[in-house]
Amino acid sequence: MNCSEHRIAIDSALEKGAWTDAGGLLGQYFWREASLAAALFTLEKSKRLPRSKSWTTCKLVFCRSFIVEPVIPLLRAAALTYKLDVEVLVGDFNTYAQDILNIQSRIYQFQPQIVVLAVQTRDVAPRLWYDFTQLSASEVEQQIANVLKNYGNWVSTFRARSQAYLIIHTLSTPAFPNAGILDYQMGCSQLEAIQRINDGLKKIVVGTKGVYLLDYAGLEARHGKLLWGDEQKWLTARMPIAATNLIHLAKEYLRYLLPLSGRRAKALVVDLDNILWGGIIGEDGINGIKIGAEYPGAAYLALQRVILDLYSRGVILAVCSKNNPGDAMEVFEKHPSMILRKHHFGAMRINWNDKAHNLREIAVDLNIGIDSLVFLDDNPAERERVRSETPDVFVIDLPDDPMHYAATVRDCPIFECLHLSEEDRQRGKYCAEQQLRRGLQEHAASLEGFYCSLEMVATISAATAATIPRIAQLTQKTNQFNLTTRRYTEQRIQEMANDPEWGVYSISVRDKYGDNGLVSVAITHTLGDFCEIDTFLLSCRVIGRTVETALLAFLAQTARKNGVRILRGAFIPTSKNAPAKDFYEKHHFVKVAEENNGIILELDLIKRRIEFPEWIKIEIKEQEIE
Amino acid sequence: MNQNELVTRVRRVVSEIFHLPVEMVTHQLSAEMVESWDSLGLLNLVLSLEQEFGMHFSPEETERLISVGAIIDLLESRFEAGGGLRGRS
Repeated sequence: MNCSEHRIAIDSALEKGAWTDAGGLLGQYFWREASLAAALFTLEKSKRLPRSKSWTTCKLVFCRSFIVEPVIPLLRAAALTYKLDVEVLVGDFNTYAQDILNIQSRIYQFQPQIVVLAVQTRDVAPRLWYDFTQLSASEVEQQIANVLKNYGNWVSTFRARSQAYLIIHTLSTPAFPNAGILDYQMGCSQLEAIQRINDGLKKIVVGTKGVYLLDYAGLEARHGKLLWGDEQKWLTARMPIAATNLIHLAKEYLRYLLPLSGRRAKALVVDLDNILWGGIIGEDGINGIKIGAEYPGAAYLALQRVILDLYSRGVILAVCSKNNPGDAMEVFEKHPSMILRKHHFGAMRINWNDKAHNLREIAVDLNIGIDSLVFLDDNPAERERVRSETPDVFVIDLPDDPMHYAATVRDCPIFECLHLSEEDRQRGKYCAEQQLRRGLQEHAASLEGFYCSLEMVATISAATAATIPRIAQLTQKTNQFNLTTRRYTEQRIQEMANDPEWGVYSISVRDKYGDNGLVSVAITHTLGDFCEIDTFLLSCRVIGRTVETALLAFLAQTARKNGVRILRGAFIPTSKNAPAKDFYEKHHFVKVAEENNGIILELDLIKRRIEFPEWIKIEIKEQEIE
Repeated sequence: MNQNELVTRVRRVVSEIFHLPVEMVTHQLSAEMVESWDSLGLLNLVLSLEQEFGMHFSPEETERLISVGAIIDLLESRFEAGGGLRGRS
């Protein structure tokens, strides 16, 4: 299909209202060249696409020292592929400092979720960039200190005024240092001076919540410093980036926008033949397939390394392959070159069923939404089938040459994350343990017997500095058992934890198979004899084990102690939270009002009690909040 | 690439940048007829043409890009300097 045929196909799909097809065609059209023109076209046409409930919006501000405008359509068009609508406000040219420092500035009024501080070395540290050879050693020191002081001031002012995430470009070094090769021989070289600012930025960022660095110097280096920029565009239009590199900057922004907007994949589902190894196990046999350190097996080994890295980052792995299970399992168990082994996978569907059907089952097995799955398959027909049958699954388009598979998956922004908690690191292990628990449930005669056999111990505690990041993370990404689906930043959780009217509680659960970690969160707001449950959520990891009853019983007990008469909760339905629908009713709450976005329920604490489940041993830690 | 193809590609880029139907993008279409063909529109246009045709325009060439006809003339002269277009009609 050439360009004009492609455009005709898009128009015809839009005319027919075939939205899935139209969306797919628009995405393909944009990614053909990923050009600015294609981005503007895609954005214009996609205005007509209806957004389903699985779409998200993100409000983004640029505070900048250069013309970023041409990057924005590319970023917005690229984000559509991930069902993310990005609304952008660009601060005035070179007014980044005023934008941050002036509380009246447009950037705060816009109420962004994310702010990018996009400034260049030559603008923020002009003397180090232009006049380095004229500076004495002490002047260099002074410059470094001044620049870092400015950044420190901007970051702390911003943090005091906004709860938005802040992303700061690191400073890049010149392709040719001002002193030539002498620079590298000097005590404090130009390159080193700029690097020291970046080191200082890292310290600022580590000490402030919700502030992150974007390694701009590294991005330039990845694409070649001399090829990256366009000096003529900088001098004539204050736009420093070559046309073909704009998409790379847009994609780099997307790596931050996706995790910060809760658009992170939870699981990667892989095919086996010609993905984890070269060849077809059913035909070539264990000695015939290609996997190992030498070409052509090396390409598949490289991909396995990337997949193992994702596993270490908390991405659950699963297999979906058309094969005889015995053949495939033999490779996992016996082939000496395999990096990925059976214990890395949380679910397996090795059979001859339709892959879309298998993917639905895998989502149920793993207890996650189907839109949290990413599918990796070398066969374009299978990819197409999965795209049309299960449009919520994200499908990675692989190039023809397996040598490029590893880089393609590494480049995919859907797996990016900005925090890695111990919970994330252990997720793969939890999933393996979960499979054992499922086995036990099948053998236990009664449900109560099953609960008892788990030997659960639950620790309930008020939020602490150590648990706040995980609590915020759970509010950000828990979709299924979440009564109100209110998303909070770490800063907001901290504020509520500090406020005597609010209570932020979490519950951690361990059982005989291992530690499930922090799995449930409740946030309450008490006013007089009323206590409103603002947030109540439970990680899908422990759904169906009565942990939620334990936390609710604790809330009722605490409220009663504080002289509360009425415990009030709300259920706000979304496309995903049906598992939480009857939660309050099951615990004797009574519906008192129905509002357009949900229902309000109350429990009279004088008349009703909520019992702790007998089979969970409860430990209550009433720590002081730091 | 022949001349027809060049014209088709220019018209597509211009139509995409300024959200115009391709039929409206004639040789005569010029900056003053299109509201968004301002300085930022021109920058978008230049960046898109540079990527589409894999070449770089000098500031002087950029200044001349005030109509579709001018864009086609400039590209033709650039291709001619580099060996010419094939199959001119």
